[in-house]
Formats: sequence, structure tokens, C-alpha cells
Amino acid sequence: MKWLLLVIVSMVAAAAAAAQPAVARLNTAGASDVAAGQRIFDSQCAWCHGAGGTGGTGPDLRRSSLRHAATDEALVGIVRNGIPGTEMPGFAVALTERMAWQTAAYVKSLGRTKPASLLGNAKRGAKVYESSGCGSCHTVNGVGGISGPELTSVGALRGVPYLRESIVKPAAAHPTGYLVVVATTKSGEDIRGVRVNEDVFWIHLRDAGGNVHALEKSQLAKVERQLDASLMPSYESRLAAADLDDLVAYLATLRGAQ
Amino acid sequence: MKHIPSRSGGLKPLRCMWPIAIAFVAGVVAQDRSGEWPMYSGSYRAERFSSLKEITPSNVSRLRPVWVYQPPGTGSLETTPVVVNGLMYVTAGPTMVQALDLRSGKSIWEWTRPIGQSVLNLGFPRVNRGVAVLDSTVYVGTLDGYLVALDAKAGVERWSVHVGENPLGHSITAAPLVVDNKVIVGVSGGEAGIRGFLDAYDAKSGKQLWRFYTVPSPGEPGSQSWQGDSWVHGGGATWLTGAYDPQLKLLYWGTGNPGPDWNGDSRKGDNLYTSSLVAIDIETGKARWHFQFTPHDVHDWDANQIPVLVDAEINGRPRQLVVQANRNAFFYVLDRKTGEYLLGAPYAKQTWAKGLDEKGRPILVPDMDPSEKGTLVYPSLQGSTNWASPSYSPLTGYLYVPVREMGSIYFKTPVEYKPGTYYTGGSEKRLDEESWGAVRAIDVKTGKKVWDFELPSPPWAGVLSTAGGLVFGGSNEGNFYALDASTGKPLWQFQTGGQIRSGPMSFAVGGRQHVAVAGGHALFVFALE
Repeated sequence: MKWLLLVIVSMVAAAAAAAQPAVARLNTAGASDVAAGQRIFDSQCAWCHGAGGTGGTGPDLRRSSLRHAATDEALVGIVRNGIPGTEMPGFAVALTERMAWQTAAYVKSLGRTKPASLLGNAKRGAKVYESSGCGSCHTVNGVGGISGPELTSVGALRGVPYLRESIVKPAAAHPTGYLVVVATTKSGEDIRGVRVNEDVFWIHLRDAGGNVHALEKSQLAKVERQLDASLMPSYESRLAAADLDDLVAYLATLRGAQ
Repeated sequence: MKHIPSRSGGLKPLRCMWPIAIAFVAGVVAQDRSGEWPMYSGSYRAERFSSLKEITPSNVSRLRPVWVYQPPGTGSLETTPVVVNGLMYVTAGPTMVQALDLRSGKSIWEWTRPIGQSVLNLGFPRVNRGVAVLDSTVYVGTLDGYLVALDAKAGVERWSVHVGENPLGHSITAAPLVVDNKVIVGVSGGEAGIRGFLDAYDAKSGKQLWRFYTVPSPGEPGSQSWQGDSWVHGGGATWLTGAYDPQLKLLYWGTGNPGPDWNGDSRKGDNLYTSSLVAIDIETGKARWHFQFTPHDVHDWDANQIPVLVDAEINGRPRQLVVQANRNAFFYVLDRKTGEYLLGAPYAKQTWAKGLDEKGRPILVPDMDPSEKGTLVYPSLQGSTNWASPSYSPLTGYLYVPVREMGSIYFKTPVEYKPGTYYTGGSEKRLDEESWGAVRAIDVKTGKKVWDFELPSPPWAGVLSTAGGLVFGGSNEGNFYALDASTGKPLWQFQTGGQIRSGPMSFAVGGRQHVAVAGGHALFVFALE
């Protein structure tokens, strides 16, 4: 049993060492740490934030200040624990403390890179938004329609590549809560809408007109989940290239209630 | 000393005699125990089968809630109530036991252990799944790694013993199992680099009787399946309740994943006895046999899923079996006396094995290990089934399994052991939207699917089958439902308003059959109106 005692004693000693606060000062990270962080980022984070932190379904991280990470400690904490109430998950299971710190060091280094300037003009983009009728489906600062996602903070939540793609090819990716479902009644009527709720026996769809349909599955002939569909039409052929750039630039400026 | 009888025995004419026999010998009228649910899985056979048959396919449409219980605090309930001696014992996280009156649902006593925020729960929520009861004592494991004995009538603490070091990741969320005046308890911590074990304590005194390590130390049988000193943090947690055969005097306990979970570079070899079923002699605490489902597991496909004891004919010969729908997507039938592999077949979508060889060992598809760039594999990290209990009905011969149809992209990362932190070496990106679930009926004689009842998402709810010919199950979306046990046809449902992450059970009071399930943060109890 002696070895067991030794193992336990060494474990407890190591536990005490681990209880000391983790190194949070990211400025002390060396180039090799930042490189290690980049490797982790490319594997674990780029899915949402884009390679190089350029943004995607997750925000562009090439900013000198990140709104949820005012301090180095907060940044490391976000990598480890995520941001409650958002799509940002924690990586405490996957990453050791050191790896989380290296990842944070890399993210911080992105703040020192200069973001590529946007092609368009946001002011003109606001007009494109209006003239294209985006507000009939989307709300910005309390004004607009309800059948599409609210866009008040979309510039803070999503990266530019994602914003562009969601206008040109909206079916490529849909945000949580906007899965398109076609329910066919036993009499052959199709009801198409986004799934606002579903359990084993019921499904609730909101159609393009904003009407909610509460449908009992036993009364339906078919329920088809369209993973690659969106209620939003593509605007690729409806917008001139310059207008598209302007619209993207406008959306990128939407960073919370004004 | 009094044994808690196996409920499933009530189906067999010979065993039906036992209450009469006890009444005769004792010279008193024996207490009717047929309406009890004496332990987590209902019986030692872990069938989660109720011999009560008042509720049937023809009358289940009249099932209505009779009371709802909401414990203090917040958090989801993962408890299976235990009903013994006219009280219902339910647990709530992080560590609370309530004794409830069966008719009114009102609390008779409450016991709570203060659990500070510093108490670790690495890899699982701050929950408790249930108690064990023997005579006048209730046994519960705690999140901070203790086993506590409580007076069954008043909740007064009789003793507590220290089972595992919580600062190193040990924790107890599973219901203990009481066998032959021993309390058997397992530990969580497979994501924290623990060395797993199963303990037996004297039910009266709390004295430790034996400890079975699921990972052998150097020189012990199986130790050559570990590289270097990797066994020290080899995992093999015992975080769910097992089964027991009183004739063979064998405990059947599933063991957890090896550590680190997704990076097996430092632990080359099969890593015995992780991701295995171990048959342990109840007296000595020694393994009589083991069967490893996933040698050198690198996907966190632990084998803690409830093993179910079944007697059935296989290839024309009556056999004593233990069956398991494993997290790795294969269903297994073993001889429970010898551990001999008899049958295995995939029961859910899987992409990692071409099949099983004649000994039940998986024939691997190349390049399915987690990688830095990510590797798409079915099933997902949470497996084709998980801790949600299956149910076996001796009437249909089907095992009803809560099935998770989901894939994941598995990542491998470097890993280092630091006490009291995650020791996993990777992660997953789940394919949520393409996932779905089912309650799946599997014929245990063939391993073939008989029917599916589809669910919108991979469930965390267990399944109950009854002698009335019903199967009860739940959904993440809050539905509690009854299916025809033969066909899977839905016959009744109730929306509980919260995710169901618990196993249903059935009991009788006042001659009426009740069915109970926890949904969200409440316990719902139903009976025919």
C-alpha cells in the first residue's frame, strides 16, 4: 500500500500547486506559445471564428478590445468556460490550462493585426437595407419584421464572411431556431415554415407570413426537415456588387441597441 | 437480515410463493411488497420491469397526474424514486434525499449535505440518481465522495464513510446497490484521471469490506495492457449502478473509459478493465470474469450502461445471460456465469467497426481515432446509448433501449495530468441537427431491431416496461409517453414541461398502480383516473 500512499500524497501536493492562480498575463507569452495557440485555434475555434479569427458564425476576433474580455484573465476564462447565454461554448474539457492560456495569447495577438477594411460603405448600406425590404422580415433596434432573425447585434455576433454568405446564399447555414420544415397534412396541404418548437407529438412552425401553426404529428402525413434550406431568398442576383458590399458593411456596424 | 426481493420474480409461479412462505414461517402476515420499487433499476436483474399490470394498453388513455413534487433548489432531477415500506425516496442534486408520502406526495423528511461550489464535478452535472434501501436504512452517495447511511423513517444520519478524494475528481452520483448486507458503491471521475474502483461496505457499520480496482497495478492480471505508469490515471470509473445474481453471487458492473479519454498515445494496449463488464464475486471483491467491449477506447465509449440479467434460449439452449446495449453502438449477449461471448450486433448507426470477431472483439475501421483536424465518427461521444436505463420485459423478450443516433467530429489534443482538472486530451463537435433518437425494441435472442419509436432528439430518459404490456419513456422535449410493448405504438402522453433526464418506475399504493418520472425539476406521479 506504500505506493498508493505515495501516489495520493503526490496527487494532493500537485492539487495544491494547481490551486494557485493560472498565469493570466498574456503579454508574457512567447512566440512558441502564440504558435501553439494558433494551432489549437485552427483546430478548435476556426469552425466558428474563421481561420485567423476573421469571423464566421462567430465574431471577428481581430479587435484590440473584445466586449466580453476586458482583461487577460477574462479572455482565458472565456476560452475555458465559454460565454453563458451565447453560442460560445467552454473548452475546459478539451484544453489544459496551459493550452487555454496559449489559445488566449493567440487571440490577443489577433487584436494587434489590422482587420482588412470593409469594401462597402455602411451609410449607403443602410439605404440598401431599406430599399431591399430587409426590414419586412428582420428587426433592427426595435423596428422591423419577425420572420427572420433580429439583426440589432448581428455585426458583433457574426463575422463579415458569414454576413455576406447569408445574403448571397442564405441556405448555406441557418442560425439556431431557423430550421425549415415542411409539414404535409393528411389532406395533402404543405405548410412550410421555421421550426419554433417540436416535441415527440407536436410541431410548431412559423411561416413566412409570421403565422404560427401548431400541428399534431398524428394528423400529418409527413414532416420533412430541410437542413439545407432557408425561408430567405438569395439576394445574389437582386443586388449589384457594390450594393452587396455596402449592405455587408452596414450589417457589420450593428453591434447592439442604439 | 432481510433480502430485498427481486420484483421480476413475481412473474414466475415458483417465486410467487415466497410471500406466503415467509408469512407461514414468521407466523405473521407478511407485508405485501409487490407494489414496491426496491432499488434503482427495480430489481437485481436490473430489468426496470414492473410486474404490476393494472395499467394496460386498453386503459392507459385514462392515466392522469395524481401529484407533482418539486424539491427545493434548482437543477434537473435525474433520480429514479425508490419505494420501500410505504415511503418514496427521491434524490436531487447536488445531494439531497427526500422521503415522500406515497398518496399525497408530501415530504416526511429531508436530508441535505452542504456541497460548496469548490466541490468538483468534472465531466457530469451536479446531480444524484437515487438511493439504496435495506431494512431501516437508506444509503446515498454524495457529490463530494462519501457514502452516507440515513435512518429510513426520519432521515437521521447514522454513519458516513469517505469513498473517494473529490479534489482528485472522485464523486458519487449513482445509486448504491445493497447486496447481502453489503452496500456496493461506484465512483465517477473518468474525465479527471482517477483510477476507478468499486467498493463494498458493511451495511450496518460502514466498514469497508473490499475494493475492486478496475485498473490493475503492475504485476496484477491485465496490467500488461497498460503502457508504463499510465495505469495510475487509467480511468475506469464505475459511475452507474450494476446488477446482481444471488445464485451465482456475482455482481455485474460496467466500467468507464480509460484516461485520457480521446488521446490514447500514452496508454498503448487494451487498457483492461476499462470499457468492460466485470463479474465480481460478492464475498471476495475479486473479478471472476471480464468482457471488454471497446479495447483501447479513444472515443469515451465507456461501458457503464446498465447490464441486464436475462434468462433465454440461445441457439436452442436455455442460458443465463447478461445483455448490454453498449455506448459503442453494439448490443452484446454474454453468458453471465462464464462471460462467454454469445452474440453481438450493431443496434445503431456506427462507422468505427466492420463488425465483431468470433470472440466479440471489434474489427476496426482504419483512421477512426480522434485527430487534430477532427475525425467524423458515429456514434457521438455520448454514444448510441448512455446512462438512461434500458428495460427488459420477460413477457416480450425485448430489450427496450433509449437510442441516440448522432455523430461527432472527434478531436485529439495534447494532454497532461494535473490533479483535479480534466484529463481528456480532446473534444468533440456534435452533429446536432442531423441527430435524432428512439426507443428501440431489440429481440435479445437475435440482437435484431423489432420496432422503433422515433424521438426528435437523442434522449436522456430511461425506459420502463410493465407486465401490463406497456413501455414508458421520456424525451428531451418533456414528453412522458406510453407505448404498446409489442408494437411500439404510442398510446398516451403527457407534457411535463421540462427535459426528462431520469428513469421511470412504477409502484402501487392503496391497490392502485402508479407510474412516476422526473421531468425538469419536478417529479410527476400518475395513476388511472
